[in-house]
Amino acid sequence: MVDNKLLNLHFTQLSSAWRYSKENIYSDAKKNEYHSNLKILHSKLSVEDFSLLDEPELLKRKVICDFFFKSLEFLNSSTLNHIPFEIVKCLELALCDWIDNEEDFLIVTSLVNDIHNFSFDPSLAFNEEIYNLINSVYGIEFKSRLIQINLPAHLDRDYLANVVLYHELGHFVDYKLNISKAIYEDLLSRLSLNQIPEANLNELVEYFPYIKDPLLLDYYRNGTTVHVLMSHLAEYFCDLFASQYIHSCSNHYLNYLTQSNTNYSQTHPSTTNRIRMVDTFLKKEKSFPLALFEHAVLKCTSDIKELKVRYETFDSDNFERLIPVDIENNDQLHYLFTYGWNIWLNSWVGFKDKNDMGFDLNRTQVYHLVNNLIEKSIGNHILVSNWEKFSE
Amino acid sequence: MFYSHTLESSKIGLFHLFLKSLIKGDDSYREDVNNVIKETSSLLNGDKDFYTIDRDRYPIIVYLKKSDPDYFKHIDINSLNNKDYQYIIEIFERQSNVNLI
Repeated sequence: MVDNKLLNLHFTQLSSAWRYSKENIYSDAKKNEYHSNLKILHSKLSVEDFSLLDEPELLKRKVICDFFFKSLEFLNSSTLNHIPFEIVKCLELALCDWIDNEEDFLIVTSLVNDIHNFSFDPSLAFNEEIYNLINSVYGIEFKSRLIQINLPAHLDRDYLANVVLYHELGHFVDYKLNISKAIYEDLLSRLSLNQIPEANLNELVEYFPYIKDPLLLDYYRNGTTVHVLMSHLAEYFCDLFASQYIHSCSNHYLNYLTQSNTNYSQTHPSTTNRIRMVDTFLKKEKSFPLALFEHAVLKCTSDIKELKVRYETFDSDNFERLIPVDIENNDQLHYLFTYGWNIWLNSWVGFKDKNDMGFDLNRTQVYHLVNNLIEKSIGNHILVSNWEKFSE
Repeated sequence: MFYSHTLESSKIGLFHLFLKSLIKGDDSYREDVNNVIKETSSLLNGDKDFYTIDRDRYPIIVYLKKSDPDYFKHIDINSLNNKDYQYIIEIFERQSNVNLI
């Protein structure tokens, strides 16, 4: 039941938020177009008298107000001055490997005041019903869908920590291609029919310790979603997805944050298992759980896409010589993060030796150097690529 | 993080709202609603599987399939009408675990 007075409150809150956002300036035409649609939407809502609407129509307005707020949450952090442009550019390139109509999607970021909050919010990328609703009620067509990624505001230019964003992009790809959900249904269906050989089942137990629990199949047969399994499949997929681009870099960070956690939670597998899954993939070893993901990626993309290493290594001492790396192609661009991590994790004596410094750099100096040089290397590559594209 | 549950609820809630609007005579949701019903029927009849059904409507399709498989297996997808839409609304309203927005 939607109360008319409460909806008026909701809309007034929205108008108040819009007052601060309506002059936003973005770096690209697609965000500007999205913003213009919000402006029209706001003007349409403004002239309506909610007291004249019946219950379903009130409910539609509530949903639209929620959509509007959610859009602002991300657009406000994606303006020309706020968006972490370089990392978003790298994610856009990875997106092109997986989505044919990538021009329909916009990667937007919300910079949140939570040091651990790296997450993907699917609410605006995969809710076609909302866009149909807005089009039906007001005749406004949103051409782009927002890929909403949350990242800690304090780390928006930390390119070591931001390797985690490849994992978050994996959630988008997972939703879009329906990979983990398809595995979930397939796996539980085969389990319920006793179609999985014992040896494979034993491998599964290592990654999904609850898989032999009779309750799991009871839930499945009763039509109840086994969220723990569905979540764990999604997380494993995203780890694999990210490792295609950043090797095992996110493992360093994950291992530290979770203190090598050996227990799983309702939403995430144990850290040890997550790392093991990625290592199995990167070492090109065989395992039944890994094969589930490889098979599903092929099936969900009609045999067009596969899980494979998508970065290209390069050898360089440029960072130690305090200059950016000349990136030759997009695959090398993704490797830049691994290159940065390798410098951070290894000895820093190269900085001193290669620049005839009479002193050692401290951790703060190395931190800023590595991050600035990664950012400059990405920026230079984008500039050169655009230059070549426009001069063709 | 995994937000699937929230998204599923939102999609199912909006689909329910579309059915209600359709019954009231708002035809703009007919195509969307019918496509979901057809996909559910295809999944149950083996014409499609979990890898090939409409991905954007996946949570709704799977929900309907599990809620009343017999009904969707035998539904005449070529002559969907208000009686069918009303029946599906009742499926949603019978389920206490569904948050209709």
